[in-house]
Amino acid sequence: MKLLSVVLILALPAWAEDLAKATPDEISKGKRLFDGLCAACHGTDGAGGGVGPPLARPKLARARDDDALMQIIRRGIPGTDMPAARQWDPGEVFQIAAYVKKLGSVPEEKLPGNPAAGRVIYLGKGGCKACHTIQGVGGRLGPELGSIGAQRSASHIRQSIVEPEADFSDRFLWVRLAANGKTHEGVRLNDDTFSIQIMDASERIHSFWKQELTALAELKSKSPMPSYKTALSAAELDDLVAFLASMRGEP
Amino acid sequence: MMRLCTLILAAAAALAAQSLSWERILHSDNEPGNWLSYSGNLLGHRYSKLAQINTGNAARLQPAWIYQIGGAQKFETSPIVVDGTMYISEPPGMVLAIDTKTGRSLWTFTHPLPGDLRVCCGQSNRGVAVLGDRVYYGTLDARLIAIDSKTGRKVWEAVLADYRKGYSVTSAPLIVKDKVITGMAGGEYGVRGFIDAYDATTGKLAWRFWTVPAAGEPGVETWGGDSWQRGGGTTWVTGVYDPDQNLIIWGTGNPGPDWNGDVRPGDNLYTDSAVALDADTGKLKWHFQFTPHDVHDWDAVQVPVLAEGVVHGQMRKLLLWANRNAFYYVIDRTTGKFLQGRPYVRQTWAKGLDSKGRPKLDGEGRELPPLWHPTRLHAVDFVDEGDATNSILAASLSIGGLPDDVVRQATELLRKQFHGKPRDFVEEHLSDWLYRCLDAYWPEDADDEPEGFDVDALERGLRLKVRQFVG
Repeated sequence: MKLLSVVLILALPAWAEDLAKATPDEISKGKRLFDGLCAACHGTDGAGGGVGPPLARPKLARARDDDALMQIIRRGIPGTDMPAARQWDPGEVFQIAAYVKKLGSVPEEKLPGNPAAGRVIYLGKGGCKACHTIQGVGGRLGPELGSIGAQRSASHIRQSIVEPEADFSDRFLWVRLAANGKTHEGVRLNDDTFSIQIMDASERIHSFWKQELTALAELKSKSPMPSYKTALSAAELDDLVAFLASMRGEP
Repeated sequence: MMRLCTLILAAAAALAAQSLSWERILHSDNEPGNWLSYSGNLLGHRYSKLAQINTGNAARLQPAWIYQIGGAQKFETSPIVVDGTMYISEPPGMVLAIDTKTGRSLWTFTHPLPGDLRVCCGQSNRGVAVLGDRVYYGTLDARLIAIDSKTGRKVWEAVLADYRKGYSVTSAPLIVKDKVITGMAGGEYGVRGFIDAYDATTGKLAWRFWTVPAAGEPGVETWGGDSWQRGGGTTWVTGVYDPDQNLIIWGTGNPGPDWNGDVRPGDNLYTDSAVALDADTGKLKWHFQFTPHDVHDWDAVQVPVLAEGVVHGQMRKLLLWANRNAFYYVIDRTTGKFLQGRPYVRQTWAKGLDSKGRPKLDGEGRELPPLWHPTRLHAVDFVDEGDATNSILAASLSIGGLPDDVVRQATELLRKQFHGKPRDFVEEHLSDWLYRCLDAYWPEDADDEPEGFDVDALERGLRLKVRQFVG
């Protein structure tokens, strides 16, 4: 009897390490916790939202194994929007991780387009390279796209191409300001009580004290990116989405 | 769309004018308003020609702006300033571009660090290098990363070595022509030192110079057995470039293990040395070893200074070096030959330097008793973190000014108290232990503590060392 209880005690911590051994009950508890907090950024069923990457993927770029996944849930990812979740005890972290892992076991949707053809559009007809970089190559005004396929779902990518203003990140806010008799437009890099810094369309950086400004407008409804709704055919759009969805470099 | 494309083409032209060419770095003395490389110029001068701030007005200086770093950690960055933007590293894994007009950050790059890092001396970084529109940054997990200088986006990343084996990068890279030269750190963890050159555009390794020769290579005879494999000789302070000779001159760190020389008989080349390498191939042109068979942790990782001057009646290209072993050296940098040297502070370990610059020791060929000696705390099996902990604690106790017999007895007490205990326990009880230990040897009715003894400094030192080595 004594031996048995020792074995039981030793056996207890094991569940905390092996997500594959999670029970259906633990996974469903994990889903409830996920829906309450994580889904706001990662989307319902981990399909991806505007802020967090989709999690319904067999491989997650940052969480290469179970330990890393639980670590990220517990501690967040410094330098990103992913916060630490210190309110959860280890059992709850385990439940959420088990649910996230299960999301990845569902096969990913097949995309209709051809990534290779999409690449040609990206570099050519689409002119995307003028404002976007992939692995350091390209323009600087728009977001880096080298890992966009890991960070956003295909449907989100599609929407951003045809309707750039639909979900426009504040990090790329376009502003118009006037100072010293000149007008400048550009992407806002920093904005605080006393100063503002922008990068103009020629990628030149300008810095102003607020007291120098005679006008300042945040063009919230304006994206510097044009809509490709009519510029590309439906097939071309499919190809471009397929190409971007395949961009899963390290973030 | 067409209009945007035209704009972008115009942008490319504007950018070319703004980006930092090698020619500008090479002639940085013409641009006193910028600070284009680690030491201001490639010759290691670390001197600004700017004259607006001088002895007449220094007393009236006021801050123009302040950039507040995120944490109270070691902050050792040498800022690089290019055309109105300052590039700094910030612990533990960040690089920032700061607008020099307002002090605001234009972007922040964050490199996530693994949780199982092994760094001896805090999460240090000494700065970045800039070439073209790229910023180059070495990380504590032994990577070199190229970052876009306008957006802070990563362009490429090269892995120098396995950080799990103790390798790290804490130094700023040095740009030489189209290459990024970087040193590395980890001399407390049995690593083997090197200097690397990477293609600035692609991140591909161009050459590597091992600071400790391998079996079969010249110099390995200065290492007993296979001790070269863990020989140290790290390269954690940025070197300099001699454009006349196309030579990179770089200092190397202590041999490993630091204080116990018995396991590595011989001079231990090329540790504690200046090495001169062909900038294109990384081939060794000459070396000069300041401290053969070092048992004091006297890394030769000072910034080398290149100058011209008359020595022994002849105008020469010189290398000037204030070494950690207390001697100042003047070396002919075309040959690596020693010209002059003498102590610049009081020293007790050598009788002087011979005509070749080698330290003169006592008659038996052994070094005079060093200030820090590992045998003083030889028996301390403190916590299971390797030799370094013992040695560093020994050193801390010795420099605290404790007499030998106190160090010996303190050692015994330390061992009993803390053997096998986790770090948290040690941290919590260290202060307690220290004062009990002192009380035992200096009861209240006894004479005053020895002159120069500083118990606060000792405690601070011990805590710091425990954190660094057991953390």
